[in-house]
Amino acid sequence: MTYFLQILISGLVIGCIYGMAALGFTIVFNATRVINFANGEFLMLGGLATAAVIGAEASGWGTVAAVLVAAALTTLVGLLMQALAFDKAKSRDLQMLVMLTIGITLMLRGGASIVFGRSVSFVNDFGGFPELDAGGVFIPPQGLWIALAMMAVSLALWLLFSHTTIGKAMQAASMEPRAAALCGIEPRHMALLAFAIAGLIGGLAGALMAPLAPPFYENGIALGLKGFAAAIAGGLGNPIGAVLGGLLIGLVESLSAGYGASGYKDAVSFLLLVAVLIVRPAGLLGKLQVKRV
Amino acid sequence: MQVFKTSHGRDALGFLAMAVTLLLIHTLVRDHFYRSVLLQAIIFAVAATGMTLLVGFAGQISLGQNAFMAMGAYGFAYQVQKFGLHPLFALGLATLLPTVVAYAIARPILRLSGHYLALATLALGSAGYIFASRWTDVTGGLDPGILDLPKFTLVSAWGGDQFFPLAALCLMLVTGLSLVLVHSAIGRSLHAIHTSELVAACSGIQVERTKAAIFALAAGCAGLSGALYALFMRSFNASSFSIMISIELLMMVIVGSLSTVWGSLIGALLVTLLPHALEHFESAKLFVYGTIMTLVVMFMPNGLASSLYGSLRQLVTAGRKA
Repeated sequence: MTYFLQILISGLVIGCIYGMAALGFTIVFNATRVINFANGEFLMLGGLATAAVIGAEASGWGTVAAVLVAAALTTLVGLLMQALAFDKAKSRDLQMLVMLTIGITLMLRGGASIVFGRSVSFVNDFGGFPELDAGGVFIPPQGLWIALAMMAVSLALWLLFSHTTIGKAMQAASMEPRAAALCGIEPRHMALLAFAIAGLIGGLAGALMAPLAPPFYENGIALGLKGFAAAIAGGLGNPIGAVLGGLLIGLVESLSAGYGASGYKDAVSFLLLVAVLIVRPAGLLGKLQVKRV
Repeated sequence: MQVFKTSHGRDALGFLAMAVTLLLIHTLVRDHFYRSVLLQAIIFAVAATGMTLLVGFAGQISLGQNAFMAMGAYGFAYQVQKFGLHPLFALGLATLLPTVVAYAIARPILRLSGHYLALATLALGSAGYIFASRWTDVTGGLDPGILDLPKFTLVSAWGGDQFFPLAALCLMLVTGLSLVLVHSAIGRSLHAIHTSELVAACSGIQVERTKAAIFALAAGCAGLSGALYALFMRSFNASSFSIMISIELLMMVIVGSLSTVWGSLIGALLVTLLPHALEHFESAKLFVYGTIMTLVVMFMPNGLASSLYGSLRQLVTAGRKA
């Protein structure tokens, strides 16, 4: 039983990370109808930047600074991605946009390997919480940070979309771009904002997961696929679904690693993604009509 | 000479030129290093040709070709090592295996389009790599992998390098088949599907079946390429079939052409040569690929070589008029 609970907890922790990755896909998709292939690279960059800033030992304010630097970097990357590439792309052909996102993914991956090097970096736990032991079930301090971040991000997004003018403008631009433009909302600015938010959340998630999964320049594609799997499982375009989908993917992965072949855990989530895409393209929560952002 | 002005005639001439070039390479290039680099280009061109049909003509993207290549390579190695089959026979079966698998999964997969198709095939390709590196009973995984496949000799009395002609023949077969296909009714159907699946279906084209067939064909090309790769390397491991191979194949199509079969040959040659030609290229490879792909897609949607050729022709015609 404790083994099972332990697996559940580690699944939920990693699920929060996938949920944040899925939120990036969702927000950008809602604003631009583009599925940003490069979303996983935000997490990869966030992790590598954190490792580069704090090295292996610093803690306290050093950690806070590192997380801020990582999130700022990925926010900037997100902004540039939209401003320099998507906004400027000549062709609106879907296939071309797909290849454009793949090209950007490769650029970020290659750029990271040049700037941060090709070795695996290691980051210590952020600390700050005591190591909790609930009847034999160990609750990792880093997991608490991740869960808190997930809640903070969800709350902030909820406030943004339901209580601020700019959030409502984003919703309007995604629902009906022409009508929104007539009301004085510039859809291109909203797209820029969406990419910045996706970058911010991705960088934060990448920084927080750095102590759990050593940052490496090749990690982006797998993280992106899992984030996308989470977004699809929850019904693409639905932020609440994205978070739930993330938790689901995390649990599935953790359970298959704990009770099945641990070497194949990534393959399980990838095949699950393909199955959901084919069988239930509206997502596992498709029937549950949550208000779309 | 009128016949060479039609696209059929030009392609026939091109095919002849390709055959002569391959023969010249075989007889003239003696240097071991250049020979093996050219062989690599030929082997990848086999897979890239299938990719051009799929991406360029049918407009369906696949990032899972590495899984089909792995199927071909391991299928080939398994038949030769475990059953002791003749390499030519094994080559045929190793091509057939991914073709059948791809045809079986094609219909549900190809219901997806655009980003969904790209990500679904990327997921399949990634899963394929995981199986290649973990299913050690068949693949040998990352270490040791497959070791010491026999050197290819069809008739031992002939001597010399008999693998190059085999690879060259495979490439000519694939290219010839693709050219025939492109000029046939199927080629025109693919074009229609690329433009609009709805219109194609309304014109009586069996969209699902055509797409599935071309997906299977591209997978077969990848399988053949993988089997040739196995026979060429003779010892290899799972790292040869990472998702990067699928991306390099896509690079070959983009660098070459999205609208002619010949582009994949140019693309395969360039993408294979570049790392050998430039020193320290390895560390910047990903970044350079990404930059090229981004720029080509943004500014030359027909593919790099194709667009350059187009502008060249425009210049020439403008020159004639002036």
